[in-house]
Amino acid sequence: MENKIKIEIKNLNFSYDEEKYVLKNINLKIYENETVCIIGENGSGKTTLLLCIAGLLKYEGEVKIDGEIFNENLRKKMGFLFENPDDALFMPRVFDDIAFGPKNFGFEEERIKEIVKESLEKVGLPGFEERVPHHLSFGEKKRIALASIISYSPEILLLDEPTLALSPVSKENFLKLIKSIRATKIIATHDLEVAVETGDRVVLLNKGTIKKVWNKSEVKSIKYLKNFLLKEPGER
Amino acid sequence: MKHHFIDDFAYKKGFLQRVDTGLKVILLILLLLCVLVIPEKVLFYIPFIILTFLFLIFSKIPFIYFLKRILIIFPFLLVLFSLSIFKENGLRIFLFSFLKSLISISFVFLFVMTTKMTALSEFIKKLPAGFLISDIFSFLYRYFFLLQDEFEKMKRAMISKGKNPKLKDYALLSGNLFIRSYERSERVLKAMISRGWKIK
Ligand SMILES: Nc1ncnc2c1ncn2[C@@H]1O[C@H](COP(=O)(O)OP(=O)(O)O)[C@@H](O)[C@H]1O
Ligand SMILES: [Mg+2]
Repeated sequence: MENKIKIEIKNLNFSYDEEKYVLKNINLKIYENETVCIIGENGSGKTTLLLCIAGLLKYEGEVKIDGEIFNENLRKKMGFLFENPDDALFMPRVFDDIAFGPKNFGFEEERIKEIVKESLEKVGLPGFEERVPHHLSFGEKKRIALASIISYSPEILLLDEPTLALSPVSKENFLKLIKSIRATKIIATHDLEVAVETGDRVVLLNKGTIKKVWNKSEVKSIKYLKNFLLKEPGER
Repeated sequence: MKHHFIDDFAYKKGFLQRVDTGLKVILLILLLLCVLVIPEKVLFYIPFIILTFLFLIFSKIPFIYFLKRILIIFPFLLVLFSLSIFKENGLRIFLFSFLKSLISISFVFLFVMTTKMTALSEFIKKLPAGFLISDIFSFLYRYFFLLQDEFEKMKRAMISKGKNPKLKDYALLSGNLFIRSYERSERVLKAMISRGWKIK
């Protein structure tokens, strides 16, 4: 594994309502091109942690990307795959959704057409440019949502429950697809199979604190991880 | 998920469907401006109500279908304008604001229902005001569908639990819808910002 630190989280605390902290004293270093899986029960704070890293929430503490604290220029380096693809597909045509990022990040107009085509090919849906998002299946929407972030080649992918609600076959294909993309990846999931299969490291989050971090060699099996979840039950 | 799309009726052959998109947009804006400025006398509103019905009939949109769509927003309007009741002459202000909004929304719905989504966004793109308007517009357009989806899901959940929604249940559902759509709009905005969108 490369040893350059890509993301450094220091003393991160976050609360939605200034009463109850949803994330408590999070410290974590993530290396370049590493895949880190965050597992934990519903409500343990996985999504919130991703949103903080992406600079989409205001937090206490520090998150550094390539040594820089958050600023607008860092957005281009990060791609956020939302749990529900409908939240990410807000344009009338698939083309516009995939072109949305590149346009905002100032890619050349002529390049954008090619980029959209390439992105669709990468996610296995060539020729979908003119399709209308609300006519697509859930699995297709998920792929288009992924295409809409890889279109601007982010160095960091933040993936929130990427396999949730996918059929077993779609799930396997989607995981393959994610693995094939070269980037630093943080995957929030409560699907332990995903963690075992993709994680170079696995982080266990419980009620907003990091309870454990395993290296790949330590994560033996789904059953092994499950035992830890049972020992640290969530709120629900 | 199987449901009606808002532009389902755009594919029927009716009066509004035949009108050129550009013309329709301008017509809509004019109509809305008219409704906005008409004086507060019931008599003045009758032609607009008749016009709505004429549009419905000649554009082949079933009245009941249309009514259901409109009912979704009824409670919002009630809440929104109910505050005015406490002012001097409040009831009057309330009734007319309500009527104005209802007619405006009917027109917007009618025009949106009878226009193919792609045609509309193509048209907007051609406008000199440029990209931002088309962004917001596209966004609004898609938002209609999501709201509708959400509403249908909740309705189905209610039915599956053995309750056939009555008018007052629709009020409950739309209150719920409001909260959900607010939360959704927050998430959508995050998705836009994360892909470099800025309020220009
Ligand atoms: N927008 C919000 N406003 C208030 N509380 C929230 C919001 N989103 C999540 N929470 C709360 O924060 C906690 C963590 O939620 P979340 O990060 O979504 O967990 P996870 O993704 O692990 O299921 C939960 O207790 C949840 O209820
Ligand atoms: Mg979550």
